[in-house]
Amino acid sequence: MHGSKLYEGQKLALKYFTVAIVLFGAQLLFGLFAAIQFLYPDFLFGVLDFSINRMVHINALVVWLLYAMIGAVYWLLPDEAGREVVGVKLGELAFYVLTAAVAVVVLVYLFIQIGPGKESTIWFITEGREYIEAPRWADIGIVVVVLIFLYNVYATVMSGRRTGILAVLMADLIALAGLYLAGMFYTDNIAVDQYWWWWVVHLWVEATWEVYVAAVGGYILIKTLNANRKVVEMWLWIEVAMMFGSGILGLGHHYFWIGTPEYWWEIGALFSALEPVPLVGLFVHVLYDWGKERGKGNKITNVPAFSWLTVETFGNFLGAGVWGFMHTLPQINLYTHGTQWPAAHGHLAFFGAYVAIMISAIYLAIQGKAGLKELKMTKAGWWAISLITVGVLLMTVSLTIAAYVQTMVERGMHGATWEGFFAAQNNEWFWQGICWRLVTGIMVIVGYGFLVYDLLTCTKKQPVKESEAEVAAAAA
Amino acid sequence: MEYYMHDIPIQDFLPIFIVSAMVIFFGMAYAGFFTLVKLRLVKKWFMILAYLSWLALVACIYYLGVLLRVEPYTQKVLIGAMVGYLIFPHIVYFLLEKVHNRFEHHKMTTS
Amino acid sequence: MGKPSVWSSNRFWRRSATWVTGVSAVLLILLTFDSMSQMQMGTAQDIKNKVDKRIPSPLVINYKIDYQLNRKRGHEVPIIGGMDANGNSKYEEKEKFFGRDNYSEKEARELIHLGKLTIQAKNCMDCHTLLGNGAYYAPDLTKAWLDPNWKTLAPAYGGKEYAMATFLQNPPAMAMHERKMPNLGITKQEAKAVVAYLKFMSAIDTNGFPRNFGKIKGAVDAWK
Ligand code: HEM
Ligand code: HEM
Ligand SMILES: [Fe+2]
Repeated sequence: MHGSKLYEGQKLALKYFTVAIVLFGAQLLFGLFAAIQFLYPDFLFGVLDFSINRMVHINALVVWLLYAMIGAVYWLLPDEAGREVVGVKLGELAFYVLTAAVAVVVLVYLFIQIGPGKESTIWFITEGREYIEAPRWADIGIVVVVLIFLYNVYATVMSGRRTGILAVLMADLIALAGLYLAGMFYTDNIAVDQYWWWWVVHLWVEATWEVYVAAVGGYILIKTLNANRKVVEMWLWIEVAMMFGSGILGLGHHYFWIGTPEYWWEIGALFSALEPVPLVGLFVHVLYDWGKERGKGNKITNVPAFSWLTVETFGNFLGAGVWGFMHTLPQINLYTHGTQWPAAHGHLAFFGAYVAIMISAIYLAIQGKAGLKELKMTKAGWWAISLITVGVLLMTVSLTIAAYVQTMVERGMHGATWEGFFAAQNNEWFWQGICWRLVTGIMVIVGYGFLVYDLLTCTKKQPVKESEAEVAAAAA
Repeated sequence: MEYYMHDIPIQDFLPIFIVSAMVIFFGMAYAGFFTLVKLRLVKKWFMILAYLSWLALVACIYYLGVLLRVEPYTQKVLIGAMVGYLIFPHIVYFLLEKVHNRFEHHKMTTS
Repeated sequence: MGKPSVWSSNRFWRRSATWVTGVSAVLLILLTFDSMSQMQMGTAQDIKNKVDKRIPSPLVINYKIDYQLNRKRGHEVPIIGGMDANGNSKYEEKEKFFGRDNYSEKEARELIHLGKLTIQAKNCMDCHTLLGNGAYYAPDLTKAWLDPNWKTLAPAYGGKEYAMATFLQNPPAMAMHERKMPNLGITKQEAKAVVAYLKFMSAIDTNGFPRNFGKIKGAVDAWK
């Protein structure tokens, strides 16, 4: 474990984490607005329309995850490489530039919202493409900031220790950053537009981000369980092979219906059906390490971080694996594409695969910052993980019921017309699913409150309240 | 290659979704039980559950194939996938053991 | 123990990962080249030669568009300018679009360009889906041009395109459901361009998505 003396890079990581958690809150708030509007369409109508709330909801999600991802790299980089981050001052400057840019983008989203049908709107207000709505000027800014980040990582590793985890991260981050360029051009051809749009979205969440998670997850296993580095690193390469081997061509599952040739049916079906396999592998690996280390009597040195990592392995498997597979074959995707199915899947997958592990990484940093040998779960931490996890799970179930009704009524019976759409939306079962999404969403938000409280206070509670927390956990 | 999409009758949607979820669940159950037994975290006879899960997985895939009216190409892919998945946890465990033995018991014994 | 097995060799797996990734990436790039060549937007020449393009020429706004079952492919396909006996597009039957059916290639392209820009600038995809991608708060727009709803409204406005354009310029005034579309400040010219884009998009060959479109209302009656 680290002493209480932190590297400058790790201090920078804490800044990234702080902004990440704030944006996570913004994400949930705007998700709440959007969820209310499904039930009460007049809520904030004409002030903050659904489109704006939803855009902020998903953009905040992507941006806070990226912040947390950068943060986690700055955290583990000096530790792994065994030296201070090279160019950390530049990294700091980049952090402030990025944060200022994000603030401007959000203000424009909220107060200007939309523009006339001109190129200038694309450049300065919104690009109007789901998840990557950020205007072009911000895209370019992001590219510059990411280049600085990449420089920090590469320069540090080149002059420090070059571990397997870092090798995987270096290759992966280049791909991750490069893919963003695929989403940075304009075309009149909407089919071509969406073709490249999916390069960013799918090749991020189902390839490069997954590999990132495998690498950082390996680091967390070493830190919390004292898992064997060699086992972790070799396994990491196998994961990379499986994830890229299935995920890259799995991209085909988005090319069934957007004006693309039919051969994507077979390619998309085959490779995306293989995508759950590495997730099973990840699960088996965590189970294996846990079993082995337990057998040796090793203690978990950071219970919250390890618990969130466990949520990640299950959540990733359920959200991406199970819910992904449920609608990935073309025969069925024909009926589920563009319904609440992707929303149900998207919530559990993003949460399970990325939100959980980033929270885990943040707990690791909290422990390092306080210089504690051990971090136990506090009562608030326990409430946070339970409320958020159960909340998102139940939200996914509610959305799945709504999605099922929508598939039956709108797609199966009416054939996707305007009438069919509203027939499904007004169906009682659909409507109840949407109601429960709101209720469970509020549950997640309460859990977020506990999370913030816990992150701020848990290290102070450790020595004194240790026994009390155990009693509380046992009682619950 | 024949590209042909069959209509799915309304009453088939529910079984399709349930069965696809079961496919992945049984997949995890198989891998999970297998690993737990191998690590001696549960009794040996749990291995029966592991292979039963795999059989259930095959049954689900078969039923899914019927419901989706898959053509011969996909049928073959599905059969291959099932055989592959039977071997998968064995490979994973074999590999993890190999590295573990190689690195744990020779050089660095953790305290 | 003998020499360490290859299966526990870090180097072996690193190489495997590199190879698997490399091969997948190369395959994806090759497939992308092929897909891109098939997804080029059609031209006036294609229409003249009656060549089907997955993404047709913007000139389709001059023609009648339909969506019919193709027995051979097993799903619906867009039919442009009437259907021949084999179920293929004839590119003959014209249809007036804002009073004209003789838009030049340049005019049509300009309309499509403005339409697409407007669709992005107004953030349509954060409520609607287009080609099935986007948000799920409002109906899918892939085949909106062919929706029976607009057929019903058309006579009162002197044509489907006028009804749609009027709606777009002030949606709350024509709200049909409690869940209303907001007024996005779409100008008259932008509205016309967006409607042109919707008409153009309905002629994109989406491999039969959405299935059974308008089955109940008989919008295009693919399964009769
Ligand atoms: C960790 C928590 C969450 C994550 C990871 C998350 C993620 C997402 C994602 C990825 C989408 C886009 C779905 C798609 O287009 O397929 C989405 C949409 C949405 N989310 Fe969340 N979300 C979370 C929490 C919430 C909460 C708490 C609420 C409500 C209280 C909420 C309400 C919504 C709504 C209303 C939409 C729009 C869905 C639609 O278009 O129909 N989300 N969210
Ligand atoms: C962590 C990993 C994953 C995340 C975060 C994720 C997230 C998402 C999101 C947010 C969408 C909706 C995109 C939109 O708004 O249009 C989506 C779509 C989809 N995902 Fe995933 N996904 C993951 C893994 C998987 C896996 C492993 C599979 C397949 C086994 C899968 C299958 C699909 C399919 C088929 C769609 C398309 C739905 C449609 O548009 O018809 N996903 N995913
Ligand atoms: Fe995907």
